[in-house]
Amino acid sequence: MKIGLFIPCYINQYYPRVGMATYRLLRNLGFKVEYPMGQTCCGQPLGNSGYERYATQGIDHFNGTFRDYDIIVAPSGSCVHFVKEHPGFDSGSGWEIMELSEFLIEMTALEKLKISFRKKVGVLQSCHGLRGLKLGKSSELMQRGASTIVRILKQVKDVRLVQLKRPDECCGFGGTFSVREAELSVKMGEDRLYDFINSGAEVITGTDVSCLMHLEGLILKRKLHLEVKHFSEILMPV
Amino acid sequence: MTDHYESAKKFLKEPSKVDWHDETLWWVRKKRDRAAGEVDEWEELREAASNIKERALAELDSNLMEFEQKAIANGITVHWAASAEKHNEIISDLLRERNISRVVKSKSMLTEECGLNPYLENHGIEVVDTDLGERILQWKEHAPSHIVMPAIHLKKKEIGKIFAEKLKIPESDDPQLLTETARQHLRGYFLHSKAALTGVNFAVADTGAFVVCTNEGNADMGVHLADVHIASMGIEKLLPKTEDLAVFLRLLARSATGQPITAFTSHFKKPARGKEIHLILVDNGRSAILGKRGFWKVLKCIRCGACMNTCPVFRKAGGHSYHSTIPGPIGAILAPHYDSEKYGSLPFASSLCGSCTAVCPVKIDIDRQLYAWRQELTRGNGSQLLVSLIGKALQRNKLYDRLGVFLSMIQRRFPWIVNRVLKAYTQSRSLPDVPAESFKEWYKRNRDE
Amino acid sequence: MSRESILGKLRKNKPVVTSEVSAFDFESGINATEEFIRSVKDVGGNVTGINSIENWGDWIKRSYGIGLNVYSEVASLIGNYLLDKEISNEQLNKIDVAVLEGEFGVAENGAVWVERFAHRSIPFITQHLILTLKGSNIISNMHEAYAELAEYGIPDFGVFISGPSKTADIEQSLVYGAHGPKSLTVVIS
Repeated sequence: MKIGLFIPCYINQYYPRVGMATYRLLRNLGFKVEYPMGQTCCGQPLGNSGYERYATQGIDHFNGTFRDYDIIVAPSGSCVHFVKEHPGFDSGSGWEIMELSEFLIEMTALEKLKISFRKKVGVLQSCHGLRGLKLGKSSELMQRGASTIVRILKQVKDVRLVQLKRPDECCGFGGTFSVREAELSVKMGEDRLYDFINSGAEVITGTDVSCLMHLEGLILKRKLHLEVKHFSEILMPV
Repeated sequence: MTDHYESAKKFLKEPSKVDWHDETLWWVRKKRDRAAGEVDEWEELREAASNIKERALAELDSNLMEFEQKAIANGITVHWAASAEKHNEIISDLLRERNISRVVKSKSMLTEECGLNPYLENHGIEVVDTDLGERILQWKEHAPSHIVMPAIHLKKKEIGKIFAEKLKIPESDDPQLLTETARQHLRGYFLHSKAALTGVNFAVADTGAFVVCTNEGNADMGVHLADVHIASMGIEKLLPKTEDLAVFLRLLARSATGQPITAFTSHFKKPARGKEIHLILVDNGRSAILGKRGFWKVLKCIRCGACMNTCPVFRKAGGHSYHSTIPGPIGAILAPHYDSEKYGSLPFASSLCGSCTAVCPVKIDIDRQLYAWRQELTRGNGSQLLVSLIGKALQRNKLYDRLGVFLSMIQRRFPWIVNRVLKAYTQSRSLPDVPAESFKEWYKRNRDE
Repeated sequence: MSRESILGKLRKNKPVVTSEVSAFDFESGINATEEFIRSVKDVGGNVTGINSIENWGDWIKRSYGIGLNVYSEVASLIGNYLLDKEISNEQLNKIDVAVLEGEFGVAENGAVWVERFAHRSIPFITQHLILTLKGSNIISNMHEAYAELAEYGIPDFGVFISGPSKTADIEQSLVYGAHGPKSLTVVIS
């Protein structure tokens, strides 16, 4: 099984540590994983801004880059969702793309991992992962079941998961939405943030670094003391 | 054209009201969750409702003909209106032929869509809205900000002021007292109106009957005490079979307010002796939407408002920020069909979180349609140099990598440039620091570790 | 002509739909009466057994007050307020308490189906509404309700009544008696 690592653009630029944690985690768990050097971005920012038609060449490039892999793993529900939803991506060549937590659960890979994380943790359920990729049951549905990330965190020793008042409301990032509707995006982010703070969380974690970046930006601006980590960083402290 | 962003910003200027609006609608969403949770087969009901609606829309032409035939046989007069103007004209003619100069009206989003009230007022006919929320808005000269809770943007103090001014009562903010006052005030209109207007929640082809749901009982108070009942119905409301009503009535009120059913669910099949029922089948753009691939499923909507209550944008920006008859997520995919310029900002007024799609009782793919609308709406934009450049960079990884290095350098050395360009973002949020190297650079050195 | 142009466009534009529609498969509850009573109370109504009413007249006086115009269409109670053959709105507006017969009750939502009245406005215009219902006529859910209605045919006019008239249009505060009855009592026999 040949695994290709897809590291989205903003992680590559701003959060290489998340890429590192993901890479090391997969290697540590015994997976043979490669990062194809020619990769760029999936084109989601163009699509969500209404310019999907300019992303086609990039999508072709993506198809070429990952042609020889069986599974593509990415630490981002949002990008994986875009690749899965968009008909231009050619999974006809045999690959399947999975978000990291989904992959770990699917492969029941975590038993070997002996880690402890003695913190109160709040989970930011990112929308594209939760409702798009169905990594869990969103609160609108009358079905229950823990999300992949919660199932993973429950295997980490000493973690205490906090209960949020609104377990899966959007944080208001939304890509270009965060700029186009800046005030609204900030208000949505603040409301999420205070839900975490009021629930006693010391760390906010999630599957999507983009949403986490938005909350982290608010935290930094307000000089609050709250850590923000992608869940791979909890599993594989650098 | 008012951009959604501008109106949202304005609404956000009153934080305590925003939080109240947000909390109140979230509470309604939670009531909905509780009510839905009590039905074991909830998800199956949604699936069934979606299938019934899709099938019904695919057979809408024949269903409408069957409905018309049955309804006429039952003694209902059926009218067809291709447009809003035609709809208004039919009602105005019916009233003028009977020398009726005042009507009572219960809530109908369709008549809002058609601009019926101003039309009738211009033709010398007084319209008295009898739904409490709508009566308040009529006084205040506001449009509804929510399709189920039309006056949710007003606080009780503001409402008390309106009552004091219009009905000459001492100012009060007691909902009980205000409601009782409205009851007394409107009863007189009910007793003496010769005609009553209502909307239609559902109609059924196999019997020619139609159903009107209210909690206040105002639709029934109006129509049974008047001689003429005029019901306005969007053609997409038609269901093939009577038994389908069970599926939809189980979903509607639970989704809307968390009630198991509305207080009154009235079924009209024949006019009472000596009275008239007129039913107007309104198209007004619906048949055109039916032909648009990727968009026609918006016609499945049963107007429950659940997507508004669950939508963080709606809750924090208010219904008026949409400037459309139907606000919220469903309005954002509906309104651009009518005027893509005026409502062009609405599909962008979303983080694409998809909560609307997950809550929708008839499973309309709202978030997907928002995305699809964005692709349509950007076509008219002029030169798209920047996006085409980005598009090209995605294909050329060397250029892409160099661009990355360049942008990191800019942010590191000249942060003020980035802060100015991305002011909307960085004003209230810090960008992360630029790390010493990108993942790609790290990987080059460490791939064999 | 609007009609032809609408139908023509619908014919031309209709989508191809492949999903199948089958009759909805549902399960009936086991304790319909118990659930019905709970539902009526949840929607703001009252429920009482006919056995607890020894004398209708006394019971109404005790429950609603004295000197009221009681209009009844149930055999076991003769009201003190009668309607003329040619019923006027003013006359209807004087009804304080109306007692009507319900056909069947629905457990899942506390709704009672009513289709027989001297005037369609009575269940709405009355200040207080009493509906009588045979305990054996309580069914589980709306699917059964429409099966019932299909058997007897949809009447010229009929209504599901679930609790009293209500509104929450002012700051979402629930108030009973918006335009219709301020209270609803279901009497189960």
